[in-house]
Amino acid sequence: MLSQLICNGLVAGSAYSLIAIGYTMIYGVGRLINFAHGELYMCSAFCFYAFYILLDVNLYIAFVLSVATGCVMGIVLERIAYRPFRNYSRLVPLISTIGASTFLKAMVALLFGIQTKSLLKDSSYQQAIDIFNVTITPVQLYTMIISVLAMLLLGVILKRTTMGKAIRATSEDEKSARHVGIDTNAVTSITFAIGGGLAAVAGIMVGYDQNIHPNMGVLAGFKGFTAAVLGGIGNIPGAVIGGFVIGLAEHIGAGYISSIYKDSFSFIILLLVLISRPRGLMGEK
Amino acid sequence: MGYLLNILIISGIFGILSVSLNVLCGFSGILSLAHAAFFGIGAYTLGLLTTKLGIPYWTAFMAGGVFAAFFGILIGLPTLRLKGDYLLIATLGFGEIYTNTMTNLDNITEGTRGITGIPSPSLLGIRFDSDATFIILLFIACALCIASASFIKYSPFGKILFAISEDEDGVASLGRNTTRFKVTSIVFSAFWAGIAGSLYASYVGYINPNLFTINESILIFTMVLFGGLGSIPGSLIGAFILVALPEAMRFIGLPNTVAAVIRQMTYGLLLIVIMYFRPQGLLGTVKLR
Repeated sequence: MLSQLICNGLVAGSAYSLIAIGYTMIYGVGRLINFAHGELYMCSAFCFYAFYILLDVNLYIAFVLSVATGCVMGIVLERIAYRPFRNYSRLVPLISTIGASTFLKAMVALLFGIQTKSLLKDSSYQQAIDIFNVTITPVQLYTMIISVLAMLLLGVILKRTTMGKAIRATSEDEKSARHVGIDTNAVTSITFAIGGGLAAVAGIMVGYDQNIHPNMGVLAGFKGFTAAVLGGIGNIPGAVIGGFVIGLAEHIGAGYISSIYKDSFSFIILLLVLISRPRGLMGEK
Repeated sequence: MGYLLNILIISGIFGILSVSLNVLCGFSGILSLAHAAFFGIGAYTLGLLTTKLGIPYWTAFMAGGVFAAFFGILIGLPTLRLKGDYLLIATLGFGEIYTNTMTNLDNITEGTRGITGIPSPSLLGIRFDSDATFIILLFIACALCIASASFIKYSPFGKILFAISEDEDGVASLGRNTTRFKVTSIVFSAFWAGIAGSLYASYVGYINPNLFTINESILIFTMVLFGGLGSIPGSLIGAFILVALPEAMRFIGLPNTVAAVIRQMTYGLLLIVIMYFRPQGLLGTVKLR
């Protein structure tokens, strides 16, 4: 049973990692906890639903289009709910993203209705397969593979490209970055776009696996945030590890203790981390 | 007339909720998105104690407040060390887990089917089972809540809360146990949210987990921010406007489900608009920090 739980935990964890990276990067450049991050995840899943199910677009094209929409939504969110408030107290943009989150949830409910929807068209993706005594569906397998690829791609972008350097410089010291000529506004925009894109990948994959609902982003966002805090907010590898730890803890806890409290485990972890190691497991200072 | 009374009663209940949340957010500077959870704990305590255990109404009524306050301490002690944005997310997590637990503890809470047949109160031979009589009871509760919140605001105790919200380390360096002050304010706030829950459950007679979700927490939070942090009249105005204004949508003839969703969109937009034009709120004096 343990190996099955670990496998499920890793699948869930890869999605949490993607969400956590977004939180951590946006916090890095903007010192903002983006409350609407879970909504980027949810909206992209619905966007995929619109393309793939309603408009009958090819799977891969629908995927790419939805991830692109996630990026664009990240940029729009930054323009409306973050940039006007960047010189205010940190709580002001936080509250405006709470507003954005409420608005987006309601907007999706208005457009698509509040019923749970399935993204499944081709059931072969849900046919469970056995690998080493562990049952896994192709969607879950792809979730892990695509997540890891997305993380590697992000790593390469951050390490090797000029843009990546600009992002790292801005999150290290925004003022100095501006002094050396980095357009920090553009960097913030790009970071929101990356965060939105990664959340979109997670949202579509999890949505494909477990159906979609306008409220699906709330808990996913919260767990992603917990993962980011666990890894030390601002720390990208930490966020990845945090995501997997949350996924594993949740599934192993649900398997051995009780599945009723599955969602409570992440909350307990968050409290324990914030109290004992507020900088997270891998946080600096 | 009956319709107007209904709106007044609902705004009165939300008035208690927003005033009590303001004691936490505006006075002590502790932003919380768990208020609907305390509201729900009160409502469920009354509902379960009266319908399942047959406990006398007024005992169950007070138990709603006390039990909510107890959870306030339970959640407050670990989370109050956090500040601002972290605290807000931690309380959000608590609220979300509260809803989930209420839905999943099927054998106790009846899950999403909810609890029906919650009795209305009666006192000295008067039954508060109609809108016209219930509003008297609510008025008394509202008056007590406002009076105690105002008392706190102008008492030395309240001055220390305001000081904590401005500079906690400063207050601590003067020898005050800031945690005790903060926990007391969360107890006060959660107690009144629980009482509001008791009132709500007995007014409507039916409760389910979906009445006390994060959306309701955000709604109460919006009322407080709209009226202004630290301002008691502001919170009452905020509660009244945010309850009454969306009712206007009924007259346009939108179906109920659509109206509910559009209401949520309005609240969301309103939060952003408040931050644009008046982050301190309508009558607020306290700045966000």
